[in-house]
Amino acid sequence: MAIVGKAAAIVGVGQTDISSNSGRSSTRLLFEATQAALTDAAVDAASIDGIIPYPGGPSAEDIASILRLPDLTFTASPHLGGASSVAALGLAKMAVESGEARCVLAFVARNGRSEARIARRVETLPGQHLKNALEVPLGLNSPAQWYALMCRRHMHEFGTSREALGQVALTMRANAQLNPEAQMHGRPMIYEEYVSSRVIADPYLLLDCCLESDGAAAVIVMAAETAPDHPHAAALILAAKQGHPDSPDDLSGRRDLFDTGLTRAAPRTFAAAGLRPDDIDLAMIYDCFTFEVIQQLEEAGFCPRGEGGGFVLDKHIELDGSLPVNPHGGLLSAGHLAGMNHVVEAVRQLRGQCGQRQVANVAHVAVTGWGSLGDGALAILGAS
Amino acid sequence: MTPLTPAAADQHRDLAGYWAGLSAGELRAPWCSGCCRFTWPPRPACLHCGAADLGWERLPETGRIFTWTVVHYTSLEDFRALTPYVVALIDVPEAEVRLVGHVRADPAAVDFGTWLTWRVDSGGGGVPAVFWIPSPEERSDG
Repeated sequence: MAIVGKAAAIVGVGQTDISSNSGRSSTRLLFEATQAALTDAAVDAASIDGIIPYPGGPSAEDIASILRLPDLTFTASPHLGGASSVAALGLAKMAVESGEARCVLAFVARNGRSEARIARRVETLPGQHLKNALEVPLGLNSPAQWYALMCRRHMHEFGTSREALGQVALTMRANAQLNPEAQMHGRPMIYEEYVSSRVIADPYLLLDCCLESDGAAAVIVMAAETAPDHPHAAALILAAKQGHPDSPDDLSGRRDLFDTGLTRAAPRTFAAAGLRPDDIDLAMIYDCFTFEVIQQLEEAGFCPRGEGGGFVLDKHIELDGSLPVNPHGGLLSAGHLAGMNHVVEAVRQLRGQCGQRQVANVAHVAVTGWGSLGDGALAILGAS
Repeated sequence: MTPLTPAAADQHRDLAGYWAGLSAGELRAPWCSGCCRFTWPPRPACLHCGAADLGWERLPETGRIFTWTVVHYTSLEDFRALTPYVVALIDVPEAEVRLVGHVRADPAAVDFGTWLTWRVDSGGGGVPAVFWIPSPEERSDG
């Protein structure tokens, strides 16, 4: 695809180490990731005039003050839970292409293990009064439990198996062995370990659940026409769009549990990019739990609804499969930076920087976001 | 002891009728007298016709399991002694609503379509205050 005018692109990425205890504040982690992204892009901090913080963490003001930004013209924060990182790319693209900002920083920074763990983070989601009254007093209060409800229904309607869930976990863990930055690097896993891990919220076992992590990831978005100024090839944001299910803040009111935000976001994202699922070389899937990979493969259009279990059992998602998924190891085995680490990996794969885990001939990458009970987002990135 | 209902000042106004129902020993839902339908979860207007003045009516007592999870790990202190426990999405066909329910039953006895009946521990202090038990006589109409 030709680079046209102000078409937005990711021109720099940065990420800290991912750990279970960073020993630094989340704002400090943000500063480190931002500096890394600026260096990667060869851009001065003073150029940043747009900031898109991930909800619930350090603010635009936090990083603007540290960097002493001279003139911030655009800030916005998406509120789609874990889909916010991908939704942020859509906002950044709008800001750059409309001229509201020339250089946009989007980030996730948190001590998601050592400080604000998941049980605290979900308290900032929409529909909190409903959860507080109608769910928490009944013993329902965590994403593992919400999505276990969806997973079991999918198993019932479509025959999705324990083995398929395990295949997702094993694939992510195998990929992490090729990523020295992954939290599970050096800790390979076999199916027997997976299936004998303790039950969290049946059908979810411990090893169906993603990691909780400390760390930060940041990206710099500018017009593709600035590409000659940056050391690395720009990753074009061909399209990035969001979607929301009906009854978006409450599962009980939703007519169809599998009709999610991604179901709606995917067709319009592919249409805007002028591409089809078959054109995608690599998929970065928001793997908060094993089944959510299967569900998103279906809803993004990579296979029909109900066939995601067979798709992963046929090993399509492995590194040498027809649609490699999460070469870095994902939220399940690399670490949980709310999917901004998926965006960083997508850009590095497009540049060919990923060493042993590099997927051959990556021209188009799809990045999904999933969060807040089924909000979704999809971005399609392309090589320039 | 956990109080049956939160203090009035802590109750969301759209849910006041729910708490009033539990205090009276009933599971109630918003009811639109215009179109004669229940709305769930409670919203400040009827989900079917948009009328804003909703009353609260007792929900039919029986529902059936749409899907469920068996919670083995919980961060909720009040529920730790209950693990493993069942939380389900329960269809109440007569009211055309689906809601979250705590199921007081052996997890092995729970299945898709299992008929349940709601109960309210109106004495207060029980956790949870509202729960579902397998229906005394298994219904055979579906």
